[in-house]
This record gives sequence, structure tokens and C-alpha cells, in this order.
Amino acid sequence: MISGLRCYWKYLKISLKGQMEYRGSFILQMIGHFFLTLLDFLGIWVLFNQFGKLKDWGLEEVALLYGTITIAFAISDTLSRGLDYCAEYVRTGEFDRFLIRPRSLLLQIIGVEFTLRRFGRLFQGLFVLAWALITLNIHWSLPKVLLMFFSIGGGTCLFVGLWIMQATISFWTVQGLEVVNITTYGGVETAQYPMSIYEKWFQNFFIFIIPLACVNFFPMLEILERPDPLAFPAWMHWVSPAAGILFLIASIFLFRFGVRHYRSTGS
Amino acid sequence: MRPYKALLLVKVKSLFQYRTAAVAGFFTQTFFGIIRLMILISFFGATRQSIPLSLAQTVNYIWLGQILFTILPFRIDPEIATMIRNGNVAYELVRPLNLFAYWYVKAVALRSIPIVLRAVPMIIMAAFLLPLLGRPDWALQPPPTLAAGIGMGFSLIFAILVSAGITVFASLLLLLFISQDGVVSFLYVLVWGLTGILVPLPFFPDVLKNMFYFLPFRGVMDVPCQIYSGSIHGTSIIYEIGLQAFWVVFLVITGTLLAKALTKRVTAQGG
Repeated sequence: MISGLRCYWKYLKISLKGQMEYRGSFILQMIGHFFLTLLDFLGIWVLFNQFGKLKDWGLEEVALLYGTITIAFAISDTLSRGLDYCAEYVRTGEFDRFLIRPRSLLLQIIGVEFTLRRFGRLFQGLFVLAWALITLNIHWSLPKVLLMFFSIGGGTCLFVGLWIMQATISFWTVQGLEVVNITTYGGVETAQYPMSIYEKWFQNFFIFIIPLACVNFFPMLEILERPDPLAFPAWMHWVSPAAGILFLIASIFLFRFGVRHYRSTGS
Repeated sequence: MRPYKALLLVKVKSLFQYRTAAVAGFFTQTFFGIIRLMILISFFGATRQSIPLSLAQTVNYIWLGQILFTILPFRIDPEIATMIRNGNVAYELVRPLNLFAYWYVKAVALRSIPIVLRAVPMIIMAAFLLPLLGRPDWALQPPPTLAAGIGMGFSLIFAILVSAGITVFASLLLLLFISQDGVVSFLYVLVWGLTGILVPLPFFPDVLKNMFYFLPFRGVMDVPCQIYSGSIHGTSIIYEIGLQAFWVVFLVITGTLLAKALTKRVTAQGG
């Protein structure tokens, strides 16, 4: 495991060096990504400007939900883009090469690429979060600060878990299944708004099956000191981001199970 | 005319091969359509302000937008992008064809054929399946008047022509600049923000709405969606379609001139 992590770190450095060779292009891409992802927030602003309120939620409170989930998504996206190529490796048979190396499989695959330009989204999330924190007037305490980091950490784990599951499916389908993007890109979009505006079945899906509400909506309710419209107990809001970590662990087990079922395409 | 017709047929046939992409697209568009609906229904429930679209109009606008998703000029033709990257575009330039017309024909096919594959299942789901599942309030409704239906049909044709014009224009810009990333991400931002796919354009503040009239992007999606949902009605339908036609002519003329100028001094990538 330790040597695997060291190996991942080396991969990371090589990937960074490679990207820094094309510095101009890299900066352009990052700025492009910043504005592209900022559009999502401008869309939310347009709606608030037109409608005034969303149930009893204001733009600043939604910006807090938006900022935290965007940061979590951006970190996971930067770290684990390599998983995107997994389906391609399985299809071409190149996956066999990873299998014969005596290092952690998952870290090798994740380490294939470390996409720095995706930091554009991270900066954008930080930017929106900073605005939310300045305008909101939150009564901060140490537990709340910790909960904030716990929420972002749990969210990052959840998204990495989703990317891993997406890659795992390719052991059976031998091609990428883009439909899974509904849970990642669609998930971010969903979690940008308070969970309470959605239909019951939809809420349950994002609480119990893909625990997005657990890593974002519930902890943010505590930070904002709002009553829970879904009526879950308060202790649950404090521990719920752990669901993201459990999800990641489950996805790693699923990946290992998938690898055992891997049959090379032989080409 | 013959070579262009043959090219169109080849492109149409190859685009019909992408069935898996159509299935993935169907689920993605349905999912995003439903989230947007839930979000906007909540917004409507809370507001006391007067809103430029009614809830029923908004539902139709959103579904139509999801159905028409593939006509949006997010990307240039991937074939042409690859050719520009590896230098094979030189072969395109030596053909005894008008470069703009040649690429435009391809772009029209690229923007129109995927809708055929996507629209039918989407309409079945949005118009017939949702009421059966107990959500008639989420369902795509027929247009309020016959004029709205017919107007939407004409407007859709011009929307495809505008979209193809933007696609080719972007391809030509790609040919002009060595670094592709700028053009690609800039196009993406413009299309995402200004066509109405992110947020229906009638919801934007008036200052921005007036600016959109000076850009071709709303002709790609917003105009057919608004005609269908009835928020553009009466003689404005003819005026709006006329405006779309103006953008088609504008894009074709400036595009042809740009293509002429470019083919005189283009440097193709070797390799």
C-alpha cells in the first residue's frame, strides 16, 4: 500500500511536468474551465433574480451548498480522471499490462492522469463558497469548521467512489457506460439545490443509494442552523458525511470483485 | 450540386450507426429534464412576482430543449477537428469544392440526423409515459395553437441551419488558430449560456435579454422553444423566424468570405 502510494506520487509528478510543458495551453484551459463551470452558478443567479426565493432558501444559502459540492467534485475529478480510460484499456486489452505490475491496480489506473486544468472548477467553487461565507454571517465554532471539512472530504470520497464504480462496470460491458454520468454530473447538479425541493423517491435515491445528501445537504443544515425539512435527527447530520467514505470503501471492494471477473479481450 | 448531395447521404448513413450514444443520450436528457422541472416547479411555488413564462409554458420549453439537445453546436464536427489536428485538412482544401459549402452540408447532417433518433423516444416518454406514471403536470403538452405548431416546425429548420452555420464558423476559426483549446472552450461557454439550454432565456434580466437579440445563439434553441410553448405568438412568430433566416444568411456570407480568405494563407500542420 505504502509503496503503491509512493508510486502514485511519482505518477502525479510526471503528469504535472508533462502538463507544464504546454503552459500557455494549460492556463487557457483552466480559465476556460473556470468560466464554463461558473455558468452553472450564473444560471442559479438568473433564477433567483427572476423568482426571488426557492421555497424558504435564499441565493446565499444555495451558494453554500453549491460551493461545497463543487469543490468536492472538482477535487475528485482532478485526482481520478485516469479512471476514465479504464474502459478503453479493457477494450484494447492494455489492461493486462497493469495486472502484471506488482503495485496496487487502482492506484496505477488512477495515476494515469492528474488533470490540473480541472482546477478551474475548484477555483470557481472556492470563489462561490467565499462569497457565500462572506454574505451569510454564520456563527462559527470549531465543530462546525470540522464539519465543513468533513463534508467536503466525504463528498470527494463519494465522487471518487462513483468514478471507480463506473470504471468497474467496464469489466462486464467492455465499453464505457456513459449513462453512469447521470449520477456524477447529474449528482452535482442535484446537490447544488436543497434536497427538500425534490420529490420523495428522488430524495431517497440520493440519501440511501447514492448518499449525496449525506455529504452535503445534511451537514450544511447544521452549519446554517436550519431545521431539517426531511426530519432526520441532528446527530445524523453530524455523522452523515461518513457515508461518502463507506461508499468509497464499497466501491473499492466492487472493483476488486470486478478485476477477478476480468477476461482479457486478447487483442 | 451532385457532390454535396452524395456527401450528405454518406454522412447521414454513418450518423445512423450511433445507436448506443442515442440510448445514453435518452437517459441523460430525461434525467436532466426531470431535475430542471422539479427545480423550476419549486421556484414557481414560492414566488409572488410575475414571471414571463407560465409554469405550463416552462414545462414545454424545458422538454423541447432536452429533445433538441443534439442540434446545439457545442462541438465542431469531430472528423474535421481531427483533420485540422493531424494536418489531413490539406486534402480538404485541394478538393475542387467550395470549402464552406462542403463543410456546411456536413454540419447540417451532423446537427439534424441525431434528432431523428432521439426525438421519438423522448416525445413518447415526455408526452405519453409521464401522464401514465401519474405525472401529467410534468408532461410535454401539445402546442396551444395550430400556428404555434406550424411555426415551431419552420423555426426548427432554421434553427438547424443557424446551428450548422455556427459549427462551420467555429471550424474555420480552429483552422486559423494553432491552439485549439481556446476556440473549443469559448464555443462551449457561448452555447451553454446563450441558447436557453442552461436556463430558459425569458427568465434572464431585461438588459441581457435585449443583448441576446444581437447574437445568433438564441436562434438555435430559444426561438423554436418559445414559439412551441406559445410565449412568442401572433405576428411575432413570423418576425422571429425572419430573424433566424437573417442569421443563416449572415453566417453563410461571412463564413464563405472567411473560408476564401483562409484558404489563401492557411498553414496546415505537417505530419
